[in-house]
Amino acid sequence: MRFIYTKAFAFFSVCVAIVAIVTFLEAKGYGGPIQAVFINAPRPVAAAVSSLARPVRNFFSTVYNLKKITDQNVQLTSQVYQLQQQLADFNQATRENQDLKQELGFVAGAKNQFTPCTALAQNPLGLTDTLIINCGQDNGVTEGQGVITQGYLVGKIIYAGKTSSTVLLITSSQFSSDALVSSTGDSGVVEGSFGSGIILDQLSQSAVVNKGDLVVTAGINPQIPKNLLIGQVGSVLSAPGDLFKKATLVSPIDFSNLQFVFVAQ
Amino acid sequence: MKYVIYLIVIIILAGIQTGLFPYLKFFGAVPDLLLLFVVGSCLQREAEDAFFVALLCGLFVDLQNGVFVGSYTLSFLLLALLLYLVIGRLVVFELNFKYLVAATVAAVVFTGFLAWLISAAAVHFGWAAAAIDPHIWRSRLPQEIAYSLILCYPLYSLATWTHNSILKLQGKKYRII
Repeated sequence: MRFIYTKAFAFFSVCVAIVAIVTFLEAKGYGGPIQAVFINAPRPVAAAVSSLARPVRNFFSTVYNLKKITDQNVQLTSQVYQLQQQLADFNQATRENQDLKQELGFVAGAKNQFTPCTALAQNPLGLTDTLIINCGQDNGVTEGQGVITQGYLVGKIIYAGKTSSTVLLITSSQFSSDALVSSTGDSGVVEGSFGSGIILDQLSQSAVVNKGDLVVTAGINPQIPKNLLIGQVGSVLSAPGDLFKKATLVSPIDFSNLQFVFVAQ
Repeated sequence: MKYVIYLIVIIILAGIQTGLFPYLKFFGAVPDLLLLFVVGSCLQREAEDAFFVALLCGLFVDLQNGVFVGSYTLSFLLLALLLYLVIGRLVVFELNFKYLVAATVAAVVFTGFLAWLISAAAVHFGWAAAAIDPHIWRSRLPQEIAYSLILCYPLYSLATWTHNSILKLQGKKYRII
Protein backbone atom coordinates (compact mmCIF):
# COMPACT_ATOMS: atom_id res chain seq x y z
CA MET A 1 0.00 0.00 0.00
CA ARG A 2 1.27 3.47 -0.86
CA PHE A 3 2.30 5.56 2.16
CA ILE A 4 -0.21 8.35 1.50
CA TYR A 5 -3.09 5.89 2.01
CA THR A 6 -1.85 4.71 5.40
CA LYS A 7 -3.02 5.65 8.89
CA ALA A 8 0.49 6.98 9.62
CA PHE A 9 0.20 9.56 6.85
CA ALA A 10 -3.23 10.63 8.13
CA PHE A 11 -1.71 11.12 11.59
CA PHE A 12 1.18 13.09 10.09
CA SER A 13 -1.31 15.33 8.25
CA VAL A 14 -3.22 15.95 11.51
CA CYS A 15 0.07 16.98 13.20
CA VAL A 16 0.86 19.42 10.35
CA ALA A 17 -2.68 20.84 10.64
CA ILE A 18 -2.16 21.37 14.39
CA VAL A 19 1.09 23.24 13.65
CA ALA A 20 -0.75 25.43 11.14
CA ILE A 21 -3.46 26.26 13.70
CA VAL A 22 -0.94 27.08 16.45
CA THR A 23 1.07 29.24 14.03
CA PHE A 24 -2.08 31.09 12.95
CA LEU A 25 -3.12 31.71 16.58
CA GLU A 26 0.40 32.93 17.41
CA ALA A 27 0.46 35.28 14.40
CA LYS A 28 -2.92 36.74 15.37
CA GLY A 29 -1.75 37.37 18.95
CA TYR A 30 -3.90 34.64 20.56
CA GLY A 31 -1.01 32.31 21.23
CA GLY A 32 -0.39 33.57 24.79
CA PRO A 33 -2.13 30.72 26.66
CA ILE A 34 -0.46 28.04 24.50
CA GLN A 35 2.91 29.73 24.95
CA ALA A 36 2.35 29.96 28.72
CA VAL A 37 1.56 26.23 28.96
CA PHE A 38 4.63 25.18 26.98
CA ILE A 39 6.94 27.60 28.78
CA ASN A 40 5.67 26.95 32.30
CA ALA A 41 5.18 23.15 32.16
CA PRO A 42 8.91 22.27 32.44
CA ARG A 43 9.61 25.02 34.99
CA PRO A 44 9.38 22.88 38.17
CA VAL A 45 11.81 20.33 36.70
CA ALA A 46 14.10 23.11 35.40
CA ALA A 47 14.09 24.85 38.79
CA ALA A 48 14.90 21.60 40.63
CA VAL A 49 17.69 20.64 38.22
CA SER A 50 19.09 24.17 38.20
CA SER A 51 19.14 24.38 42.01
CA LEU A 52 21.28 21.23 42.04
CA ALA A 53 23.54 22.19 39.13
CA ARG A 54 24.19 25.84 40.02
CA PRO A 55 26.09 25.30 43.32
CA VAL A 56 28.27 22.60 41.72
CA ARG A 57 29.06 24.86 38.77
CA ASN A 58 29.70 27.85 41.07
CA PHE A 59 32.09 25.80 43.21
CA PHE A 60 34.21 24.61 40.27
CA SER A 61 34.02 28.03 38.62
CA THR A 62 35.27 29.70 41.80
CA VAL A 63 38.14 27.23 42.18
CA TYR A 64 39.08 27.65 38.52
CA ASN A 65 38.98 31.46 38.70
CA LEU A 66 40.51 31.87 42.17
CA LYS A 67 43.62 33.75 41.02
CA LYS A 68 41.58 35.95 38.70
CA ILE A 69 39.14 36.75 41.52
CA THR A 70 41.98 37.73 43.86
CA ASP A 71 43.48 40.08 41.24
CA GLN A 72 40.04 41.48 40.50
CA ASN A 73 39.45 42.08 44.20
CA VAL A 74 42.60 44.20 44.46
CA GLN A 75 41.60 46.18 41.37
CA LEU A 76 38.05 46.70 42.58
CA THR A 77 39.18 47.82 46.03
CA SER A 78 41.29 50.58 44.51
CA GLN A 79 38.41 51.44 42.16
CA VAL A 80 36.07 51.80 45.15
CA TYR A 81 38.36 54.43 46.71
CA GLN A 82 38.47 56.34 43.42
CA LEU A 83 34.69 56.14 43.02
CA GLN A 84 34.12 57.35 46.59
CA GLN A 85 36.12 60.45 45.75
CA GLN A 86 34.15 60.87 42.51
CA LEU A 87 30.89 60.43 44.42
CA ALA A 88 31.79 63.26 46.77
CA ASP A 89 32.54 65.49 43.73
CA PHE A 90 29.31 64.33 42.08
CA ASN A 91 27.22 65.21 45.16
CA GLN A 92 28.80 68.63 45.21
CA ALA A 93 28.02 69.10 41.48
CA THR A 94 24.42 67.87 41.99
CA ARG A 95 23.83 70.41 44.72
CA GLU A 96 25.27 73.18 42.54
CA ASN A 97 23.16 72.01 39.60
CA GLN A 98 19.96 72.08 41.68
CA ASP A 99 20.75 75.56 43.00
CA LEU A 100 21.43 76.85 39.47
CA LYS A 101 18.23 75.25 38.12
CA GLN A 102 16.24 76.93 40.87
CA GLU A 103 17.88 80.26 40.10
CA LEU A 104 17.08 79.92 36.37
CA GLY A 105 13.55 78.52 36.91
CA PHE A 106 14.46 75.41 34.91
CA VAL A 107 11.53 73.01 34.30
CA ALA A 108 12.47 69.46 35.27
CA GLY A 109 11.99 66.82 32.54
CA ALA A 110 9.58 63.95 33.06
CA LYS A 111 11.18 60.95 34.73
CA ASN A 112 11.16 57.61 32.94
CA GLN A 113 8.69 54.97 34.01
CA PHE A 114 9.79 51.37 34.12
CA THR A 115 7.55 48.32 34.22
CA PRO A 116 9.06 45.36 36.11
CA CYS A 117 8.84 42.06 34.23
CA THR A 118 10.01 38.49 34.79
CA ALA A 119 11.82 36.39 32.21
CA LEU A 120 9.66 33.44 31.16
CA ALA A 121 12.04 31.66 28.82
CA GLN A 122 15.73 32.21 28.33
CA ASN A 123 16.40 30.74 24.93
CA PRO A 124 17.96 27.46 26.18
CA LEU A 125 19.47 26.60 22.78
CA GLY A 126 20.89 30.09 22.17
CA LEU A 127 19.21 30.36 18.78
CA THR A 128 18.04 33.94 18.53
CA ASP A 129 19.46 36.08 21.37
CA THR A 130 15.94 36.80 22.53
CA LEU A 131 14.15 36.66 25.86
CA ILE A 132 10.45 36.11 26.50
CA ILE A 133 9.03 38.22 29.34
CA ASN A 134 5.69 38.13 31.15
CA CYS A 135 4.64 41.70 30.21
CA GLY A 136 2.60 42.46 27.13
CA GLN A 137 0.19 44.95 25.65
CA ASP A 138 -1.98 44.62 28.76
CA ASN A 139 0.90 46.19 30.74
CA GLY A 140 1.43 48.98 28.21
CA VAL A 141 4.36 47.30 26.46
CA THR A 142 4.77 48.15 22.78
CA GLU A 143 7.31 47.21 20.12
CA GLY A 144 10.53 49.24 20.14
CA GLN A 145 10.62 50.02 23.87
CA GLY A 146 13.96 49.68 25.63
CA VAL A 147 14.54 47.01 28.25
CA ILE A 148 16.99 47.41 31.13
CA THR A 149 18.31 45.49 34.09
CA GLN A 150 20.59 46.73 36.87
CA GLY A 151 20.60 50.13 35.14
CA TYR A 152 22.05 48.75 31.88
CA LEU A 153 20.26 48.51 28.53
CA VAL A 154 19.81 44.83 27.66
CA GLY A 155 17.60 45.01 24.58
CA LYS A 156 14.39 46.21 23.03
CA ILE A 157 10.91 44.80 22.53
CA ILE A 158 10.46 43.30 19.07
CA TYR A 159 7.12 41.58 19.60
CA ALA A 160 4.41 42.55 22.07
CA GLY A 161 1.65 39.98 22.57
CA LYS A 162 -1.27 40.52 24.94
CA THR A 163 0.37 39.00 28.01
CA SER A 164 3.95 38.33 26.97
CA SER A 165 6.61 39.96 24.82
CA THR A 166 9.83 39.08 23.06
CA VAL A 167 12.97 41.09 23.81
CA LEU A 168 15.77 41.23 21.24
CA LEU A 169 18.96 41.26 23.29
CA ILE A 170 21.65 43.87 22.65
CA THR A 171 24.08 41.03 21.84
CA SER A 172 22.02 39.96 18.81
CA SER A 173 23.50 40.77 15.41
CA GLN A 174 20.02 42.09 14.47
CA PHE A 175 20.08 44.73 17.25
CA SER A 176 21.04 48.37 16.67
CA SER A 177 20.45 51.58 18.62
CA ASP A 178 21.85 55.08 18.88
CA ALA A 179 24.49 55.70 21.55
CA LEU A 180 27.07 58.20 22.67
CA VAL A 181 30.32 58.21 24.57
CA SER A 182 29.43 59.72 27.93
CA SER A 183 32.69 61.62 28.51
CA THR A 184 32.96 63.29 25.07
CA GLY A 185 29.41 63.20 23.67
CA ASP A 186 30.58 61.56 20.42
CA SER A 187 27.67 59.64 18.94
CA GLY A 188 27.60 56.27 17.19
CA VAL A 189 25.49 53.18 16.75
CA VAL A 190 25.49 50.24 19.13
CA GLU A 191 25.11 46.85 17.48
CA GLY A 192 25.18 43.28 18.64
CA SER A 193 27.85 41.04 17.25
CA PHE A 194 27.50 37.26 17.22
CA GLY A 195 30.16 35.68 19.39
CA SER A 196 31.90 38.94 20.30
CA GLY A 197 29.27 40.82 22.31
CA ILE A 198 28.50 44.48 21.67
CA ILE A 199 30.09 46.89 19.18
CA LEU A 200 29.97 50.69 19.10
CA ASP A 201 30.15 51.52 15.39
CA GLN A 202 29.96 54.57 13.09
CA LEU A 203 31.96 56.87 15.35
CA SER A 204 33.64 59.64 13.40
CA GLN A 205 37.41 59.27 12.97
CA SER A 206 37.90 62.45 15.01
CA ALA A 207 36.01 61.00 17.99
CA VAL A 208 38.07 60.48 21.12
CA VAL A 209 37.39 57.04 22.58
CA ASN A 210 39.46 55.44 25.29
CA LYS A 211 39.33 52.11 27.02
CA GLY A 212 36.98 52.30 30.02
CA ASP A 213 34.83 55.16 28.68
CA LEU A 214 31.17 54.74 29.54
CA VAL A 215 28.72 54.48 26.64
CA VAL A 216 25.08 55.49 27.13
CA THR A 217 21.95 55.71 24.98
CA ALA A 218 21.69 58.92 22.96
CA GLY A 219 17.90 59.30 23.22
CA ILE A 220 17.38 59.88 19.47
CA ASN A 221 14.89 57.01 19.45
CA PRO A 222 12.12 58.29 21.76
CA GLN A 223 11.24 54.74 22.90
CA ILE A 224 14.67 54.21 24.44
CA PRO A 225 15.33 56.86 27.12
CA LYS A 226 18.47 58.95 27.07
CA ASN A 227 21.50 58.21 29.27
CA LEU A 228 20.83 54.53 29.96
CA LEU A 229 24.13 52.75 30.50
CA ILE A 230 25.13 50.32 27.74
CA GLY A 231 28.66 49.37 28.73
CA GLN A 232 32.31 50.37 28.91
CA VAL A 233 34.65 50.62 25.95
CA GLY A 234 36.79 47.48 25.88
CA SER A 235 39.07 48.09 22.92
CA VAL A 236 39.10 50.44 19.94
CA LEU A 237 39.05 48.75 16.54
CA SER A 238 40.07 51.18 13.86
CA ALA A 239 42.49 51.16 10.95
CA PRO A 240 43.82 54.42 9.42
CA GLY A 241 41.89 53.88 6.17
CA ASP A 242 38.54 53.18 7.83
CA LEU A 243 35.69 55.63 7.34
CA PHE A 244 34.41 55.17 10.88
CA LYS A 245 35.89 54.24 14.22
CA LYS A 246 34.65 51.12 15.97
CA ALA A 247 34.98 49.89 19.56
CA THR A 248 34.00 46.81 21.49
CA LEU A 249 31.82 47.35 24.55
CA VAL A 250 31.88 45.37 27.76
CA SER A 251 28.67 45.03 29.74
CA PRO A 252 28.66 43.59 33.27
CA ILE A 253 25.30 41.93 32.60
CA ASP A 254 25.13 38.14 32.24
CA PHE A 255 22.82 37.95 29.24
CA SER A 256 22.42 34.20 29.53
CA ASN A 257 20.94 34.47 33.01
CA LEU A 258 18.44 37.35 33.02
CA GLN A 259 15.75 36.85 35.64
CA PHE A 260 14.11 40.28 36.04
CA VAL A 261 14.04 43.21 33.64
CA PHE A 262 12.34 46.60 33.36
CA VAL A 263 10.63 47.93 30.26
CA ALA A 264 11.07 51.68 29.74
CA GLN A 265 7.76 53.44 29.03
CA MET B 1 -2.45 6.82 28.11
CA LYS B 2 0.70 6.42 26.00
CA TYR B 3 0.52 10.05 24.95
CA VAL B 4 0.43 11.13 28.62
CA ILE B 5 3.59 9.09 29.26
CA TYR B 6 5.31 10.70 26.28
CA LEU B 7 4.18 14.13 27.48
CA ILE B 8 5.65 13.56 30.97
CA VAL B 9 8.98 12.35 29.54
CA ILE B 10 9.16 15.36 27.17
CA ILE B 11 8.38 17.83 29.98
CA ILE B 12 11.17 16.31 32.10
CA LEU B 13 13.60 16.52 29.17
CA ALA B 14 12.62 20.14 28.46
CA GLY B 15 13.19 20.92 32.14
CA ILE B 16 16.64 19.31 32.09
CA GLN B 17 17.46 21.19 28.89
CA THR B 18 16.54 24.53 30.46
CA GLY B 19 17.83 23.88 33.98
CA LEU B 20 21.04 21.91 33.43
CA PHE B 21 22.59 22.49 30.03
CA PRO B 22 23.17 26.26 30.29
CA TYR B 23 25.83 25.18 32.85
CA LEU B 24 27.26 22.42 30.67
CA LYS B 25 28.15 24.20 27.46
CA PHE B 26 30.72 22.57 25.21
CA PHE B 27 32.59 25.38 23.37
CA GLY B 28 29.40 27.45 23.48
CA ALA B 29 27.16 24.66 22.19
CA VAL B 30 24.41 22.77 23.99
CA PRO B 31 22.81 19.55 22.76
CA ASP B 32 19.14 19.52 21.86
CA LEU B 33 17.81 16.73 24.09
CA LEU B 34 14.36 16.95 22.53
CA LEU B 35 15.77 16.45 19.03
CA LEU B 36 17.73 13.40 20.23
CA PHE B 37 14.57 12.03 21.83
CA VAL B 38 12.73 12.51 18.53
CA VAL B 39 15.49 10.56 16.75
CA GLY B 40 15.31 7.83 19.40
CA SER B 41 11.52 7.64 19.07
CA CYS B 42 11.70 7.46 15.27
CA LEU B 43 14.03 4.47 15.53
CA GLN B 44 11.31 2.56 17.44
CA ARG B 45 9.46 2.19 14.09
CA GLU B 46 6.10 3.37 15.44
CA ALA B 47 5.00 6.15 13.10
CA GLU B 48 2.21 7.64 15.21
CA ASP B 49 4.32 7.75 18.36
CA ALA B 50 7.22 9.32 16.45
CA PHE B 51 4.99 12.01 14.90
CA PHE B 52 3.39 12.81 18.25
CA VAL B 53 6.79 13.12 19.94
CA ALA B 54 8.09 15.27 17.05
CA LEU B 55 5.06 17.58 17.28
CA LEU B 56 5.35 18.09 21.04
CA CYS B 57 9.14 18.43 21.08
CA GLY B 58 9.02 20.91 18.19
CA LEU B 59 6.45 23.07 19.96
CA PHE B 60 8.54 23.04 23.15
CA VAL B 61 11.70 24.09 21.26
CA ASP B 62 9.91 26.82 19.26
CA LEU B 63 8.04 28.36 22.17
CA GLN B 64 10.89 28.14 24.67
CA ASN B 65 13.38 29.73 22.30
CA GLY B 66 11.10 32.48 21.02
CA VAL B 67 11.52 31.52 17.37
CA PHE B 68 8.71 31.47 14.80
CA VAL B 69 6.29 28.72 15.83
CA GLY B 70 6.65 26.04 13.21
CA SER B 71 10.39 26.43 12.59
CA TYR B 72 11.38 23.45 14.71
CA THR B 73 7.94 21.80 14.85
CA LEU B 74 7.77 21.38 11.08
CA SER B 75 11.46 20.44 10.93
CA PHE B 76 10.99 17.75 13.58
CA LEU B 77 7.86 16.43 11.88
CA LEU B 78 9.58 16.21 8.50
CA LEU B 79 12.59 14.57 10.14
CA ALA B 80 10.30 12.00 11.79
CA LEU B 81 8.61 11.32 8.46
CA LEU B 82 11.93 10.91 6.64
CA LEU B 83 13.44 8.68 9.32
CA TYR B 84 10.28 6.55 9.40
CA LEU B 85 10.32 6.11 5.62
CA VAL B 86 14.08 5.50 5.36
CA ILE B 87 14.27 3.09 8.28
CA GLY B 88 11.09 1.30 7.26
CA ARG B 89 12.33 0.69 3.72
CA LEU B 90 16.11 0.43 3.94
CA VAL B 91 16.85 -1.03 7.34
CA VAL B 92 15.46 -4.53 7.23
CA PHE B 93 17.69 -6.00 9.91
CA GLU B 94 18.19 -5.04 13.56
CA LEU B 95 19.22 -1.43 14.15
CA ASN B 96 22.85 -0.97 15.11
CA PHE B 97 25.09 1.82 16.36
CA LYS B 98 25.98 3.02 12.84
CA TYR B 99 22.34 3.83 12.08
CA LEU B 100 22.01 5.75 15.34
CA VAL B 101 25.13 7.84 14.62
CA ALA B 102 24.05 8.51 11.02
CA ALA B 103 20.52 9.42 12.08
CA THR B 104 21.82 11.77 14.81
CA VAL B 105 24.23 13.64 12.52
CA ALA B 106 21.61 13.89 9.76
CA ALA B 107 19.00 15.08 12.28
CA VAL B 108 21.20 17.87 13.72
CA VAL B 109 22.15 19.16 10.26
CA PHE B 110 18.71 18.71 8.67
CA THR B 111 16.63 20.28 11.45
CA GLY B 112 19.13 23.11 12.05
CA PHE B 113 19.14 24.09 8.38
CA LEU B 114 15.38 23.69 7.85
CA ALA B 115 14.48 25.58 11.04
CA TRP B 116 16.78 28.45 10.02
CA LEU B 117 15.22 28.46 6.53
CA ILE B 118 11.63 28.55 7.90
CA SER B 119 12.40 31.25 10.48
CA ALA B 120 14.24 33.39 7.89
CA ALA B 121 11.28 33.03 5.50
CA ALA B 122 8.87 33.98 8.32
CA VAL B 123 10.90 37.13 9.06
CA HIS B 124 11.11 37.92 5.33
CA PHE B 125 7.32 37.76 4.98
CA GLY B 126 6.79 39.75 8.19
CA TRP B 127 5.25 36.88 10.18
CA ALA B 128 7.99 36.81 12.83
CA ALA B 129 10.20 39.36 14.52
CA ALA B 130 13.42 37.40 15.03
CA ALA B 131 15.12 34.77 12.89
CA ILE B 132 17.55 32.11 13.99
CA ASP B 133 21.05 33.55 13.79
CA PRO B 134 22.78 32.06 10.71
CA HIS B 135 26.18 32.43 12.37
CA ILE B 136 25.23 29.50 14.59
CA TRP B 137 25.97 27.27 11.62
CA ARG B 138 29.48 28.59 11.25
CA SER B 139 30.44 28.60 14.89
CA ARG B 140 28.57 25.86 16.70
CA LEU B 141 27.65 23.04 14.35
CA PRO B 142 30.71 20.78 14.89
CA GLN B 143 30.46 21.12 18.68
CA GLU B 144 26.73 20.51 18.55
CA ILE B 145 27.19 17.35 16.49
CA ALA B 146 29.92 16.10 18.84
CA TYR B 147 27.80 16.80 21.92
CA SER B 148 24.77 15.15 20.31
CA LEU B 149 26.79 12.04 19.47
CA ILE B 150 27.84 11.74 23.11
CA LEU B 151 24.22 11.88 24.25
CA CYS B 152 22.47 10.06 21.39
CA TYR B 153 22.71 6.60 22.95
CA PRO B 154 21.34 7.62 26.41
CA LEU B 155 18.45 9.39 24.69
CA TYR B 156 17.86 6.42 22.36
CA SER B 157 17.80 4.17 25.42
CA LEU B 158 15.31 6.49 27.10
CA ALA B 159 13.10 6.41 23.99
CA THR B 160 13.30 2.61 23.88
CA TRP B 161 12.56 2.35 27.61
CA THR B 162 9.56 4.68 27.23
CA HIS B 163 8.32 2.72 24.22
CA ASN B 164 8.73 -0.60 26.05
CA SER B 165 7.03 0.74 29.18
CA ILE B 166 4.04 1.73 27.08
CA LEU B 167 3.96 -1.69 25.42
CA LYS B 168 4.21 -3.33 28.84
CA LEU B 169 1.29 -1.26 30.11
CA GLN B 170 -0.69 -2.29 27.06
CA GLY B 171 0.21 -5.94 27.71
CA LYS B 172 2.22 -6.32 24.49
CA LYS B 173 5.64 -7.88 23.85
CA TYR B 174 8.56 -5.51 24.04
CA ARG B 175 12.15 -5.32 22.83
CA ILE B 176 15.32 -5.39 24.95
CA ILE B 177 17.39 -2.18 24.75
